[in-house]
Amino acid sequence: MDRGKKLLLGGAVVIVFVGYLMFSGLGASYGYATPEELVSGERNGESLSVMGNVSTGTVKHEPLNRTLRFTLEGDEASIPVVYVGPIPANFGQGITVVAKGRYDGEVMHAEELMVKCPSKYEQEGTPEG
Amino acid sequence: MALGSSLLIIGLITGVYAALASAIGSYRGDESWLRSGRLATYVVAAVVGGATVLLGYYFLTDNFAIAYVAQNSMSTQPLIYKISGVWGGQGGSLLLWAGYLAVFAAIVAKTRQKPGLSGYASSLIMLTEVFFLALIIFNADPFESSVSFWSNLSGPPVEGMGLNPLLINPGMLFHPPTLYAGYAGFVIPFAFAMAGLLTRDDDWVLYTRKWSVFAWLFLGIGILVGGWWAYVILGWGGYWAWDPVENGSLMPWLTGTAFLHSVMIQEKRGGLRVWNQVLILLTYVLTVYGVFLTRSGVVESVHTFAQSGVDLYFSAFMAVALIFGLGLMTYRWGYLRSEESIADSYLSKEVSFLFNNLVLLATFFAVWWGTSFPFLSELLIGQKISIGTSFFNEVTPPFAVALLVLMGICPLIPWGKASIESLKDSFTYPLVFGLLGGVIGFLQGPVGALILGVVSFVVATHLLDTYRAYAVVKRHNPENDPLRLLFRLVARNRRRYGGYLVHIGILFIVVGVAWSSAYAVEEDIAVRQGESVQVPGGYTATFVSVAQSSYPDHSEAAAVLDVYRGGEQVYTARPSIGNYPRREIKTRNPDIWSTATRDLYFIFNGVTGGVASITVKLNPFVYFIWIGGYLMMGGGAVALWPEFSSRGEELEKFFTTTELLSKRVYDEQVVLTGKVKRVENESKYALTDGDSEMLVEGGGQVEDGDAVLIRGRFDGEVFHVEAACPECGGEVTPRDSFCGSCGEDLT
Repeated sequence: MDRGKKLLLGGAVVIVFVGYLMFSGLGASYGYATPEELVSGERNGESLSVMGNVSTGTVKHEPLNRTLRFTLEGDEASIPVVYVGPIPANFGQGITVVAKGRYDGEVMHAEELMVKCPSKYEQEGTPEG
Repeated sequence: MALGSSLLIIGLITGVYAALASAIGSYRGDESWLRSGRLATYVVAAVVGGATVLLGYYFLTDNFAIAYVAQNSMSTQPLIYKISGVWGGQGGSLLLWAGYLAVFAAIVAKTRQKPGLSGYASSLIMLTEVFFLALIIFNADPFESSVSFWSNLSGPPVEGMGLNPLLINPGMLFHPPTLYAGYAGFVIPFAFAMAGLLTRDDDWVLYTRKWSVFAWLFLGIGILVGGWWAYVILGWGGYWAWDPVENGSLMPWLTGTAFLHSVMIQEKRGGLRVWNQVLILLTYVLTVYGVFLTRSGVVESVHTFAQSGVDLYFSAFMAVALIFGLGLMTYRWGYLRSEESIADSYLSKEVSFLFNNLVLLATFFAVWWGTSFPFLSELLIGQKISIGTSFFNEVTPPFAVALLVLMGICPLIPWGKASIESLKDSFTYPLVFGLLGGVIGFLQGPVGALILGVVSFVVATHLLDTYRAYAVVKRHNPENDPLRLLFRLVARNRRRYGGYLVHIGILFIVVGVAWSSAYAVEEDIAVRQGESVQVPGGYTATFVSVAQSSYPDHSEAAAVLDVYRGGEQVYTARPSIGNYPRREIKTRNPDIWSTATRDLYFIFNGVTGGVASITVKLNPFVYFIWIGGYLMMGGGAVALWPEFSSRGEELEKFFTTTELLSKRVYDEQVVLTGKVKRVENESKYALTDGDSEMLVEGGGQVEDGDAVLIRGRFDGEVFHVEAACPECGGEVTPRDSFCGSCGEDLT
């Protein structure tokens, strides 16, 4: 095989590979949205990733069906979130979380729930003086 | 100013000087500048290492006047968690990184190789050190006082807040130190590679061999310990979640693995220079990116990329490193391209290494693509889109299988060109073995068949290659004890057999990951006190009680479950929920009943109206992952064990006939490669590389078309084969890949 053909073949492989990644990437993708956008009703039914804080006093856990309900607070709007599955470590009131799932116009059904990374390391609050 | 902060600032200033002095010394070839640079490097190691130790001392003495100590420790914390508190937060873990690099830099300075090469390398190492020191001093100073950190405090706090409960685990004692040793370790081969470019010197490959293996091993072990920590502490039943932070450590490991393999080709055959430079540059930038992902959380944020100073600082550093590296490569393009002669045939070790590299790079690219998709999509379509874990789970397994197949092919395929006969000879048994494994694996299912088939194939090629070498040794030393011969074989070829042991470790990990991902069984059970229910694995669990216990900073409620099999109690599980009121955090502490073939993983979800909710997960072969980790450590230890051989660490260069003729390397022992042509008699033939030919005398039996590799001297007309092992002087033939007397690797 001469150099030109090799380059052509290599290029083709790379294009197919990147195409495949794009295709399967889109199948598993989540757009980003804010609680405000969800409340406006424009993005109902889309696969979305929403970030906000867990409102104090809203967390309800039903252990029997492993369901977690809480309100996700944005800057100006809040949405109720339902999530079924293992509760992420470090989850708690006032903590920043990312919920990935769909909003049906009333409730965000989260398929994945993540506690934002830095809070894994950063300590909040003040020690006893 | 605090003592610790002062030490860091002294380190920063001295580091800048060390970088300058070493570079000037290398540029001018001036030993006095180089010596001065080395002294400054030792000072940096002393002060930064000293600062790290000092922080540890503050933790041990409960010095809560230091804000970082108050944030990550408390007086009642057990000793080991006071130690791991040092890297429990941002400032301390960056300091640990800088401490490692400073000590590595001192080791490089102490074992100075060629002045030019080592000087430039030291300079680049110090520049990296300065970058991290500046980041610590200006952004995350772990020595800041509590009073200035919390403006509402009038004096030092009487008690600390304690380490984040999730970090209270032995895994956290080892995970950051091993991972960061790997991250910092990769700076050394990078710096030497760049120095090699600057000085047009290939010897950097030789000097960094052990550093690369060391960094790669620690990075890998660090990743594994992190997975183990996630598995035993996070309480969701898995060990890997394709979290950006995890991916951040996996990416440099993948490119580092590619580098580790391809650099062997440069060492043996002088090819792939460009490729190796690109790989080590990429690995270096990715280690910085890994630290950046861990420390900023930027990927999961919906805010735009360059929002904080730290993001900008890291991005700028990575950009500068990339531009510097690529620019230097362009500048030295003539040197880089001067020796490109890698493969004689597609059926060769070289090409199997090349494919291994391509697949590793493709895997890296897929992981990078998924991890960085939010930036990429924002850049390309102005909209931030993130990718779920299903993407990674779908894309990566095929690459893993391809890598395993190549891992199996590599040991048995020869350098140069493999004949069809030799392939049949080598691969018949391994293929049969692989087929057998596949059939056994099929009892579990198609995934089992594929994985066990490929794994058996790889095991077989490794065993066969080892056996062949052993057989040669045995033939020449029939009277010796087999175990002793085997030991000697391994001892003389540490890198090879250390590498094989690492491969076997990887196989264990693959089996563990494949089985626990494909064949895990999960069940949610609801059970009243005194009641029994079926759980996965053919067991029965009885919910006995909820046991409450309290600790200084938290309380725990554990569900006590007696586990029975056939009426006989075999285990008591105590998964619990920890409540940390001051942090408003609840932790779920799983109980894992671990055996070699399966883990039974209990998660306590809570109790409502007297009914306990427990999730029970049967994870098959998870233990194999940890066994694999131990084997990797063992293999790494074998490969890194210091050599005491008389041959030393000289770089043995392979020549083709054309190279030998054009470079006029006369009367010097070299290795010549080529194809046999016109055999006149048993010890006289011509050797060719396609462009030129050379007359060869001596050595053993060869045939037309044989690809050979011979040691000897060229007198200007004839190449005289010295049919002697360079290690022990024993008799060898051109076809041997091992010395029959001592087992020395001749390939």
